[in-house]
Amino acid sequence: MYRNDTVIPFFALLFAVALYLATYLDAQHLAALHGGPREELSEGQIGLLAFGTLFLIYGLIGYFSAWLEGVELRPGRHVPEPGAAVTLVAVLLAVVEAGLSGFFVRLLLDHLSGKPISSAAEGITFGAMMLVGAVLLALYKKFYLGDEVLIEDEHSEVPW
Amino acid sequence: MNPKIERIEVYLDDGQEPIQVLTQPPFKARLDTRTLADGAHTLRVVTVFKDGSREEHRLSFVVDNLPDAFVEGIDEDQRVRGEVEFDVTVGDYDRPVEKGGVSPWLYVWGTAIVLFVVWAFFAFSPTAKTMAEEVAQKPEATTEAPAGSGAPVDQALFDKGKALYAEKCAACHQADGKGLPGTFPALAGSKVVADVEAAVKKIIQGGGGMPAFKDLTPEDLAAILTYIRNDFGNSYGGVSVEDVKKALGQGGGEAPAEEKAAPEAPAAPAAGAASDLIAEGEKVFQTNCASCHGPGGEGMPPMFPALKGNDKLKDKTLVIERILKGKGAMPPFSQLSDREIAAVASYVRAKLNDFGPVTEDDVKALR
Repeated sequence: MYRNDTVIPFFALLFAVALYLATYLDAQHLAALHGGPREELSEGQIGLLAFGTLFLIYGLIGYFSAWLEGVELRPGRHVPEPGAAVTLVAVLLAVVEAGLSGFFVRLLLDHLSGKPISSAAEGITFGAMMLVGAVLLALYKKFYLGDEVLIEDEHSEVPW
Repeated sequence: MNPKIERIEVYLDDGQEPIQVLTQPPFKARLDTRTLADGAHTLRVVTVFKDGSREEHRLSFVVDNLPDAFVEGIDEDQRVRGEVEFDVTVGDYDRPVEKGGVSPWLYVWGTAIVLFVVWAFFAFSPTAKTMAEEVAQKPEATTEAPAGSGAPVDQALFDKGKALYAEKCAACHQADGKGLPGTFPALAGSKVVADVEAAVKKIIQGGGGMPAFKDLTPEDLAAILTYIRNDFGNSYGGVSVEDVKKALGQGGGEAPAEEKAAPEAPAAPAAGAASDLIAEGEKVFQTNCASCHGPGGEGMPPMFPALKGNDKLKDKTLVIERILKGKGAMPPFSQLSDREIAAVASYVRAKLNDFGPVTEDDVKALR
């Protein structure tokens, strides 16, 4: 198994799905016991969600790393190859990012002026901004940033 | 540096003498191509090792210091007449490179301006304000309250509901309406309580551990709902008898009397073995009794007595009457059929204890 192998991330995502499913079934079971959906999460559900999210993030990082750097790291210099399509996507995402940040400011101003603005809408807008920003950074790393992989002893102690 | 290397010699074309000899890293060689004629050349890099062996690497390259003249004014195969004037440009490596095209700063400023315009549009334009109002308003501001909210509260109904609640509901949902987390749901802030139809259905049909209160009249239901919707911090408004009747009509939970009569019919196969009756009783128990008396009959003393290992259950009549009529916090379960009562009584007596089963005739005699 090499450094960016996707076997472990795959099973991490599988575990995450299993834990989320267990949370859902637990909620269904509790709802059946109590005669209706419960508004609050049980301690068990919080625990399942926490570990599910842990596995989800771990799995996503693994797949993300494999996509950015390749499953097998070949020594040498890697010149970026940005294409027109990637540039177009990056430009569009930059415009979307600017629009989202402007809209976020609009929501904050409305909120401060006392209008009944939903906190969920603010959170979703901010989350979308962060997500688009992350995609832009990933595109930059993948298609615009040169990279150099140094030779590493196959039996070295890194990674641990 | 690789310790096996002695030196590196760089030759040009077929020259016998190296143009450069490198002995120490960094191995950087310098070649002024202006001293060479334009055209193809060969570079040979010979590595000499300490043991006398040599390794040669050949590299072809083309020197192009003086490119062809570029003619501007006459195109290829163009027909011309009379006197013609055209420009001739010749490459010159000494001439400074002309800065043509668009300045990088123009790109930077252009991008910044475009992005700022987009940003400002979404931040300050009237369209964005409308969008924010439509998309991001709090749900409370747009969808105000469930049915019945804001309706005036009938004080008489409220007082009656308070008494009924203390009698029938408080044992599980507690006097403060906060329930017992994990066992009995809170009514304070409950979505079910906010919805008149759902609440009526829940009380009449029970489910999820809650017994069905089919004996309650529409007025009783209106009273209880008026109370629980306007106490414990709730302010969902009053509920009239008409609201309850309407909910009963819509919810399908109507006519407790009819439903009470219906289950009597399948009581016929009483000839089933006692073990079948007990197995059936376990299902009835888990549906109707386990939420208070515990899934294994262990109860929650002192509020809900244990049924397992309880000598009082030796008295068959007491068991049947308690199920039929209830007592204290325990509601009556007269809506159950004779068969179901016989089954659950047999289960608690014979399975949770060592007493004999109960027959349908026993129940019939006491109903």
